Formats: sequence, structure tokens, C-alpha cells
Amino acid sequence: MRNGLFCILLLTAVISGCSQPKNTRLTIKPVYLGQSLDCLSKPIETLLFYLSDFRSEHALTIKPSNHASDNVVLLGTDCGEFNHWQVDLNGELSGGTLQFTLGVPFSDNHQNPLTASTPLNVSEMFWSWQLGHKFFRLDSSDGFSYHLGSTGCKSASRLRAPKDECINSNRITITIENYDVNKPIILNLDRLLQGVDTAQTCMSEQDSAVCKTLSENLSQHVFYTE
Amino acid sequence: MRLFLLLLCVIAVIGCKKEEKPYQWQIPADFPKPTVPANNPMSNAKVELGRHLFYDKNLSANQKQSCAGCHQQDRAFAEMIPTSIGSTGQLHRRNSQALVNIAYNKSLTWAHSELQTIEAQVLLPMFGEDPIELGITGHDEQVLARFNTAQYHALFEKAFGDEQASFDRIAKAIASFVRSLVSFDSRFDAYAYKMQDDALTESEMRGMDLFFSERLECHHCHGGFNFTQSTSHEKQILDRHAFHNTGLYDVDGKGSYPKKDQGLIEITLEPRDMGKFRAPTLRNIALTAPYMHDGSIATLSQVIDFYARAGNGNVNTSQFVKGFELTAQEKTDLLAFLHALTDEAFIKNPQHSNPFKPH
Repeated sequence: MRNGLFCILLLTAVISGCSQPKNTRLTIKPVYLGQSLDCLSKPIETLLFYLSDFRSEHALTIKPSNHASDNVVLLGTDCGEFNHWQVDLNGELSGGTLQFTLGVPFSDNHQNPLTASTPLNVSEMFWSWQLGHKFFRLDSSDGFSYHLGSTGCKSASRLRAPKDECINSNRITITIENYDVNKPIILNLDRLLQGVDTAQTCMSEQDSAVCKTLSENLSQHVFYTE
Repeated sequence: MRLFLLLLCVIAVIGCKKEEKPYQWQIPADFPKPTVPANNPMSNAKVELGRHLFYDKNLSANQKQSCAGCHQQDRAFAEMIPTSIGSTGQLHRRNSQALVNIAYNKSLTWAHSELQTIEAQVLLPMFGEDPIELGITGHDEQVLARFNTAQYHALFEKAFGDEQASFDRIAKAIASFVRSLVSFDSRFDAYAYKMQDDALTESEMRGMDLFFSERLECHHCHGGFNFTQSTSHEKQILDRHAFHNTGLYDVDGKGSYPKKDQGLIEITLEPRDMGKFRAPTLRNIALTAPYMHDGSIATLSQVIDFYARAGNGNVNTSQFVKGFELTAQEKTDLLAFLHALTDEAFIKNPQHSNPFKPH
């Protein structure tokens, strides 16, 4: 009897070991000036962003790590020690349509950053309880900055969280129509900055032309697969 | 035989009781703890020894100055003159920094990216020769011999296991004391972290909203729970040394700061680091006038004016110093908020006070 059980266990182990390796890792490749982003030679100082709510043919959730929680992952680089471009997922990625959100879910976005766990305890990516986190942050040493996050959030003060969703949530849904599990997703900063006057900056001001162009670019063609 | 075993047990238990209680950080629950070098863990005994050394003029060669000479508790451990004066009367080029939550500092002093432990930093005022602060260099044995007293024997014994004084132990003990200077009990903290809605006045609330606005950009460099981007703690995943050029000077129209102090460039030799200094915490900022690395701005009101006009004009001014307009009421509100960052309990805390002066 004991031997029988052992055999079954062994068989199970062998079978699961033989099954196809699942595609559970998604990679983002940043491109700037037509090349892979390189902090050393480029004016980019910070490129950090939060992604959440991954949707594919199968159900997908984020695998927690030192830069991800169950709900949200922080990717990008501070041109220092933080340098993360991969999301590990529970569930299998498949080709075809892939969707995800650039931003932090509302339920996670307005919490006390001190008691928040990774990756929401990064002060550089936090505005205040009222506005929540910067979803996307690009700083360049030549003076250009783009900080995307929610605006029009109503609460008693900057240090209190809103009860309801902000007027401009500014979360951006990214849809990759022809996702190929064997290729990285390109994040193309050249396309992001297309038609943008980089002498100005964007801090998510709702009436700013620069902000409008940037967020249109982001939602349309900054993320793609080749 | 049984009695003997019982006695042994009793002795063992008493032996255990003698062991010191582990150090408790005086920080609110949920706050991340500072990181501490592995070779100098915090202990109550080291903090107590460090406190004595911090306030002891015997640590300066000529016995005229202690650390507390330039770091005064009632000024949040800063002092009220533009730049400090050493034990021999030599003028320092920089303003004495407040010692507030520096256990969380990413780097130390006004502009030194590589100086990351207080143990290393504290050697500068002790042994530095230009300028001379405590002036120990050349008088090492003489200074050390002053700690050969019954009181210090007991303090060293408790802190390090034997009564021997050494400069390594002195640096470690002072570092431990300075690390213990944590301040999280301002009225802002009551509002922000203890959720007391009535802790701030209407004016202070309006000032707070201005402070955290993209219009003023204050919180870009003075962000996070310690009001400085240059913060690290045990939960940190982003490791950045934040230094900024506020546009205080431009002596040649090309962005140069005066030769006597050019900031981070002196350490890194990188041209882009000209005029860059570390953003200090704003906790207790109302107590620490005058301001800036050289103490050249006398009041908080003038500091606000300085940032409102986007600095004094320097081609390399940080993009976050872009200027703003404030109404008179808004300025009053912003000042009121900055005053609400004062922690009265911190500057009166007897644990941080001069042990040689009974209260």
C-alpha cells in the first residue's frame, strides 16, 4: 500500500515535471532615441511606473515580490539600484490580446504610505493621501518631468483619503492586440514624447496641453510588441 | 543536592535579569525603523554614554566646546548663527544642521554622497583640522585620558563590557545617542498619523494643502514622513541620494557657486553636481534659523520668498524650483503649517538633555 502511494506520488511528480513550462513572466523593454534605454548616456534620471489589473485569455494575478504586491507592481529604474522590468504572474500568459492598467487601483491608491507594504511605500512615487500615487514618473536631467496620477480627488485635506473615486482617475488601460509571449513589450519613450514640448513639464494638470498629448500617446502607442 | 540545584536555578534566573532590555525606538507603531550598522547595534547603555560624551567639553582638545555647543536641544540640535564656530574660534563655512531623525538620513552633512554612517561622520567634528571643530587631532592621548574617571568607567563598562575608553567606542556611542534623537510628535503628526482632525488650525490646514501642492512643489524634495527625499529605512526599496541645486548662487553666469563651498561637486568631481546640496528635513524647521547650507537666509519667510522667485538665478537650478506666487494670506498659512512641524516634546525630552545639568 505504502509503495503504491509512493508510486502515484512519483508518477505525479514526473508528469508535472514533463508538462510544458508556462509563460508566467512578462518583460517590458524601455526604448529611448531608438535604442534600449541606458541611464549612463541619456538624460533620463527616473522612469518608474505602476502596473495592475492584467487580463489575458486566462485569469492573471501578480506574484508578490520585493517590488510587487498581489495588486500592483512597480517597474522601471531610478538609474541607481532599482532596476526592474519584469512582472511574474500567477496564471498563464497567452498570445493575442493582453490588457493591463497603468496605475494603482483606487482601493490601494490612497492609503497611509507608512503602513503600506511594497511597492506602495516609495515616497518618490507618492503625492499625498488625497491624490495618491504617481502612476508614471519620468524625470530627465534636461528639466523635463512627467508625473501622472489622479486629480480632482475630494477629501478634507491633502492628508486625508477621498471616499469616492477622483474626478480624473487618470488610470490608463493599455491594450496589446497582438501580444507574443516570446517577445518583450516595448515601452517607447520616443513615441511618448512625440509632439510634446519638453521645455514644459506635466504634473497631471488637467488643463495642460502637454499633459493631454502625453496621456493620449500613452494610451495609444507607447506600449506595444514588435 | 536538590537545594544546590534550586540555588543554581535561582542564580541563573537572576543572571538573566541582569541582561539589558533591548533598545526600543521612540517611534510610533507602524513607522519603519531606521537601519543601523551591524557593528554598532543600538543599546540603552550606548545611548546614555553617548549622551554624556555629546555634552562633555572634555571631548575638545582645549576643553572649551562639546558637540552640544553647535547642536543645542532647544533649537532642535541646530544653533542660531549662520555658520558654526569651532573650539579654537575658527569659523566653519557651513550652518550647523539640526539633529532630527538623522538615523533615517540617506547621507550625512550638507553635501557628501559617500558619508552614510553617523559613526564615520562624527569623526569629522572630532578630528577635522580644516576647520578645527573639537580639535582632537594631535591631542589624542590627552583627550582620551580625561575619560579615565569612575563615572565614565561605569558608563563604558555598561555600554561595551569593560571600562576602556577608545575613540572607536566614543564614535559608536555618540552615533547611538544621535540616532536616538527621533522626533515624530508634532501637531502635524497628530493630524497626519494619529488621525486627529482637530490637531491643526484652519490656517495650518490651508498651508499644508499648499505645501503638498504641485503648484509649490515643496514636497518633491521635502517629501515622505521625514520631509526629505534623502531618507532611508528598513522597508526601503528605492535607494537614492537626493541632492539639489536650489539656485542660491551663480557667481560667473555659468552656474558656479562661490569657491569656498560648491556642494556635492567637491566629493564627486562631476560638473553636474555643482551647487547641489542635500535637502534637510523640515521637522522642527521653525527652530533652526538661519537657513540654507551657509545660513545665508535669516528667516523662514525669506526662504519662502526665495523659492517663490525660483531661487536667485542659476542655469542649473532644479526643475522643481520653478517659482510660484502666493497671496499674503497664503504665505501666512504656509508659515503656520511649517510651525506646526515643531515637536515641543522633542526639545524638552529629558532623555536628550544635558546629563551634567540636573533638571
